[in-house]
Amino acid sequence: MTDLILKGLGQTLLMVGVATLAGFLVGVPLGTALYGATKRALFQNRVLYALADFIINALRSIPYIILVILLLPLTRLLVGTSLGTWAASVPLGVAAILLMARLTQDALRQLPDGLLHAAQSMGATRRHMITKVLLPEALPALVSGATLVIINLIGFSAMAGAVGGGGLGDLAIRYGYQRYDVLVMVEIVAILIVLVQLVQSLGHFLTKRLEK
Amino acid sequence: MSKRYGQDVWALRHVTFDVNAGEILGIVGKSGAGKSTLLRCLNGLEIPDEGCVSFEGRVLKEMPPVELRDQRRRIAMIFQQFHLLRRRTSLENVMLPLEMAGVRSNTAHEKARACLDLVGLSHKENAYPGELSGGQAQRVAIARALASDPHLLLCDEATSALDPETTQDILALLAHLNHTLGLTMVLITHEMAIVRDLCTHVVVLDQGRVVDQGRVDEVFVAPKSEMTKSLVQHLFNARVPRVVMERLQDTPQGAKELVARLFFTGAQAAEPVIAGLVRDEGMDVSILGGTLDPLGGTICGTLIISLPLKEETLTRLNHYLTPKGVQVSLVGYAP
Repeated sequence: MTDLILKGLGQTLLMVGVATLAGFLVGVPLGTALYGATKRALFQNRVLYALADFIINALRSIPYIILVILLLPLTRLLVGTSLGTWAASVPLGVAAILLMARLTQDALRQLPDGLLHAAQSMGATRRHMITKVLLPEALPALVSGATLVIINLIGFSAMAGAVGGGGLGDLAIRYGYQRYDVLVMVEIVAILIVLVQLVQSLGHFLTKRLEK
Repeated sequence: MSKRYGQDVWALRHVTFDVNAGEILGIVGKSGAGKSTLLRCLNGLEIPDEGCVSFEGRVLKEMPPVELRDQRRRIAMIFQQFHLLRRRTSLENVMLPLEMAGVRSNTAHEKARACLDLVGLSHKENAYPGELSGGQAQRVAIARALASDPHLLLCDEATSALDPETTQDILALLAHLNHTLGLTMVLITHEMAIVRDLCTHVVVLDQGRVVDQGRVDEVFVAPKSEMTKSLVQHLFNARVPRVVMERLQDTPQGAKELVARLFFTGAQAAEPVIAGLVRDEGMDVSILGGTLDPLGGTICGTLIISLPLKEETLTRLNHYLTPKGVQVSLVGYAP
């Protein structure tokens, strides 16, 4: 049983890790683009913004388990199979990207508009504004956002079992719930609690350190 | 130039003025008068719908974007809310415009240190904005503005978020920079006091139009518009002492004294006028309060006086003082 739990933990960490990475690499630029599309100083484009905004909202409205099924073709395209841990990482990654994009947009929106004006008056290029002013200033908020994303993903990853992705959540459902093994259920829940606590504490610590 | 919002809401209408090198121009007006828009036009962040801004002989709106961006480095700006980056130290904040201009790291370091030194904050180079007082933060912002060797400094309500004492410090620093570096400045403010203390020239804006402009002493002494008059009067307005105020009544019935406010715009001196009232008109004037400031060889300010109430006191007062450049207004009657 311990082996199974360790394996499940590994699978959970892999799925959540891959998805978080995708969230950062794609979600942050996407969120920045969304923000930029609303600002005249960057690349204001109301039509494009409205469209992107709608698509993201629509995708986020879909229940996660349905999203997993809807994304099966994409998963096959990316991973080559629709089953297994890697395959389960794809919808999780998409969820992470959507969430992170929104959080990035929010984090940037919290910054005073004056920062953009100040940067503009210094003769900043758009790239300078984003890389030297906006993102560094929003970094604490981005890290705290990422913490939230990771905790959400740990929850979502429980549904990876639907496509044979494994992970702790899947174990809890199959052994703990379907086989009435209360002990396994308790153990897994305890591990998940510790995991979430760790992520939260680490995120909090990093955010505090980044805030000046 | 003129600037329009939407179909026919004019933020600025036929605004014309010159700023010569070394001058400090104050643009005053109430909020919504178009000051901020005007300032943003000056560094090309807004493009006027009619007319143009030309800087050192070149028209801003005809420049290609890349050149305009380089040009902005010659026009630095400071803000009411400082707009420092919270996650950079003072020194790193001052280095920001240099980094953007592609200055090499070593040179940028040296330059930034020199600028911080100029504003008297060398000892705070490693402090984060969160650890600085408002006055210190504005000094860092000024150092950041100086880093790109600007020819023109735009100040957007730069002292409005500061307490009176710090405001004086910052104004003194700006005056010092103007003297030592010959730095030309344009500042917008809603406070006439700042214009009086710092500026050489003034433009008064009211609802997007220029209602007064010229040298500060000339405009203060002979304001042309009601707006300027009210701003200047407000500045020099002495308050009527409360003990007097409480005794005042609106009608002359049963009153023994008349309290009036004298507003001096360009009278040669206050005393001869008061002495003249006593000598020529036989009035027993007593002064209840006042503020008088010398300005450009004349006197600006207000005096609150009280006189024994007789037949036509107010009319005689007006007759005597108005030709001498002193405005009279009735405050009330005292028993």
